[in-house]
Amino acid sequence: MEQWLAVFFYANFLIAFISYIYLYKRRKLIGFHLGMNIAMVAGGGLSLGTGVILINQFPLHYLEITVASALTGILAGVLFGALFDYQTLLTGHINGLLMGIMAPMVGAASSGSLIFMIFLEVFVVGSFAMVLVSSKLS
Amino acid sequence: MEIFLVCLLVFNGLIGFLGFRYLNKSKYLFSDRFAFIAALTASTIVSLVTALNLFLLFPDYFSVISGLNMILGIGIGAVFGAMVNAQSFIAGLFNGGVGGIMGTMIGAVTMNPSICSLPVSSLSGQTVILFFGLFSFILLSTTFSLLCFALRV
Repeated sequence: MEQWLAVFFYANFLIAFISYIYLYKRRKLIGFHLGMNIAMVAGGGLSLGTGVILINQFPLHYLEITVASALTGILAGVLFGALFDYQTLLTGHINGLLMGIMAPMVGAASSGSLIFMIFLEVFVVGSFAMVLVSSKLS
Repeated sequence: MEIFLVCLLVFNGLIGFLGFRYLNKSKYLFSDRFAFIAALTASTIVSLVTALNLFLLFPDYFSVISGLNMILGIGIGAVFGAMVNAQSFIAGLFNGGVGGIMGTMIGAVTMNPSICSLPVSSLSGQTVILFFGLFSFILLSTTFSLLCFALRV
């Protein structure tokens, strides 16, 4: 059962890619206040999911996973923030960095509990869904 | 290994100080929003890196270093936040404290992975210290170059 959780890793990236394409088409309609929150949610959520799933799959490689998760957070925050403004880019960068450094510790402390991973995945997917809904409503 | 960490601490403090002088020289140009974001970014990353380096330098005195890191982070955040107005002051204060606590946590898990129920890795202590020191240096320089580039955009 445990190895099937790696599917969530690819599902996070797929959802992030779909929402990036969706937001790219309507980026002119979104104000900077919503844009800042979108950058924070995207960078933090993607790096949180990446760090927790990777530390459960490879528990011996703590250093590499910290760097990989921090880089994922930085890249996602910068890409989603660059849709709107330079200051949203800065906010997404710092929030993705902090969440990405913190995520492997959360994953290690949960010690591979199945229900925690499922709730985390529901949380990340729900955050991206709320991003899409709020960009539709604005 | 202590010489490397002391050099790294001095370099990181120097980068933080130069960035503070560069931002402080043009603080009358800041809008409210940019002041908030500059205080948040700068205080978080400087206090995180300083707390990480200090914990790697003195790993045996946990109770002293954790309190010192928090007070140092709050001070750094207050200095960065006091440039413009009250909302950037509050943001700098809070995020500096959070960065200090987070740096202590990263240092503790790095020095002793078994407190997070991780298996003890095969790497020695020196490799870990070298790796995280260079990582913190790269993070600090990247963030400050992005932050100082914001004044030209």
